[in-house]
Amino acid sequence: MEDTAIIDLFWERKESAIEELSGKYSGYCYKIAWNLLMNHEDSEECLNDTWLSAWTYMPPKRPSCLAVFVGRITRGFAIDCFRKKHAAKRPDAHRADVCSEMDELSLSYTIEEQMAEKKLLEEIEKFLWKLPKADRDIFIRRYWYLDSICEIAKRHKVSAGCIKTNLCRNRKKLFHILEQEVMGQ
Amino acid sequence: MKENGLKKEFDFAEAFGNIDDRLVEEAGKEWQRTRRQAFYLYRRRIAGAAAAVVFVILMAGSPRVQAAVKGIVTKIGQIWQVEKDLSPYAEIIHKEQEKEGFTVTLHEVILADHKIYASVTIHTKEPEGMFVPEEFVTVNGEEQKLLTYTDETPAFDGEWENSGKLEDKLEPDHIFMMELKDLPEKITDIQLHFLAYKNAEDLLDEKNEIAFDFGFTVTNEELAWNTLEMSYDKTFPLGEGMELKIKELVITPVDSRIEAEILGEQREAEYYLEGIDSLGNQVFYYPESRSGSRITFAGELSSAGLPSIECDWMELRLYHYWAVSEEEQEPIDVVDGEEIMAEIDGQPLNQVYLGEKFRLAVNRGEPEDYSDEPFDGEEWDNFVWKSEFTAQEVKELAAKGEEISDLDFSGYQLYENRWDDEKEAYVDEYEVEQGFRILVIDNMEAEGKKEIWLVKDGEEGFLDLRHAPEEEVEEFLNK
Repeated sequence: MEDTAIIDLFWERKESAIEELSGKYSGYCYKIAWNLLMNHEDSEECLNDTWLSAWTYMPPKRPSCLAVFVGRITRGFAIDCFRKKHAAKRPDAHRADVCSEMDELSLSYTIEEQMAEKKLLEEIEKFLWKLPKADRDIFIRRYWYLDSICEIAKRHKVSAGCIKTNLCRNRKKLFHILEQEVMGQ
Repeated sequence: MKENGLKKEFDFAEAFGNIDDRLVEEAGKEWQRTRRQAFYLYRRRIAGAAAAVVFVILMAGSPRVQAAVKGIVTKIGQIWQVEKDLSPYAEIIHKEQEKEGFTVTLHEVILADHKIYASVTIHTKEPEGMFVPEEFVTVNGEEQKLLTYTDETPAFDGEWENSGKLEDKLEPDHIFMMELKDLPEKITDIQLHFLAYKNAEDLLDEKNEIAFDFGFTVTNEELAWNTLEMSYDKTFPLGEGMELKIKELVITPVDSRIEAEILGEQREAEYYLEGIDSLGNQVFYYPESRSGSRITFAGELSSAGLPSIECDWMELRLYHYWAVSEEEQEPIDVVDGEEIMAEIDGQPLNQVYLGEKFRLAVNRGEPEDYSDEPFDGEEWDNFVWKSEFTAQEVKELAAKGEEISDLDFSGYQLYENRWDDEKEAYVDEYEVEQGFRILVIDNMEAEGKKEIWLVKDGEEGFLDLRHAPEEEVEEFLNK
């Protein structure tokens, strides 16, 4: 079924909406959740939460890209779930890697700096658009889709080391930009 | 954004989830490499129909097909597995450096357009060793920032299932393509900078960088010889009010691009250019990027066909293509009882050509003898092709009478070249202003003289310029 037809079902409050949505996007969303949680039950729970949230958000929302819309919800639930479960104990290598890499880019600053999250998000987007296409793809595959280094290396047909180097360099660049933005306020 | 007393925390993981949909959508698609676009043409037997793929007829980056190529002279050629001898275009360096457990050899470098291709072999016993180019190169003592770089290795194509511990392996052979905004006009020396790291953690501290710098000299002549740039202002009708405007062509020994515009398009579609050059090389250009009506078409050495930098012309045709199911797929041609099918990244395609075949004159001329006189790069830069004859030039031609059969028109842009069954002759067409054309009709007989006709587009009748008096030419041109 076309995305617009699925969205119409949500707007018409038809229960088949969730069935159609999950039928079309459960594989896509499961992959995002699994990439971080690597646990079947937790990933399934994220998916159920995703379909319920979609029911809550539509209407009033009418997403322009349904895949990104539901993927974003799943990703949010997966990160929350991961943080709750691993607040006290160490996760395994991949999950710890991707989370600690993202933590490197989190900043603290005083409230007087009045830094709006929206402004920082704009800086991130500006940075991404400026990146060469391959670098942008690698960065988004890693931190939005939460893919493993090895999966990205396969996708780009280069060594895992090359992907690690690429990500590390671009994280450094982005951190510098965000830091400048915060300090410059 | 979390508030904690007077401190706020920007949670990157959370914020990154909200990036622009277009960015997420783009990364959600199959990754299409800018090099070695997986565009295949293949044959299948007509009788066998759907699944009987016989072989790939055009090299399209298939390592298994290419692995059979023998006698490759350069390391770049070996890594790309291409038959073409690249040594006339390469600076042969063969310098080796050894530092802290890394042995690095720079084999050769090709400078072309604004890109530097370097073949490098790295040996190390460091299990998690890494090797990357610095973010700049030094040209004539000045640092030039890289716009981008790519790192190609031959080892990962096609053998992923059995490639073992990918995480820990640094492949020895690489081609680094380092793209600069521009290379300065006068180059004397270049330094390439590379950095090795023992592991990923070392990336965090510059003190852990192991630097490898390689210097060499190149001349303007060598760079000019590797890059052919031509400007055009040629428009070709595609039918239904659409036109293809060719604006610029760049050919190097390893890649090529055509800057073009599609005018009068009802809705945005996908196109490629295919054809042949004057030396018989298959030529294929895929759409590398698009911005509104502007399209950059790219061709690559290791892809489905690249024109030779030495060719005199290219004959091309524009194709519109779209994805279809296997059942819907139709052959693009039939050769020797076999259907030629096309696919991109495994996706079957159908296509139709738009407009007629057209020719682009490509003139690089013979190599200058640098030992006798300095190369005049300006001469090339300022060379302008005449896109059409003026009415005055036609009159002057006619005044020469029979003599014009032996004249060389190669300074003019050839509009079309075809075999005419009726006349049993090759016909070269040149454009003349105000909708006229000159047809040069050559029956290829040793003693035969070429006929030179003047015709008006869309009208019957012709004037044989070899035998036409001045008044008749004048009258014909005033039609």
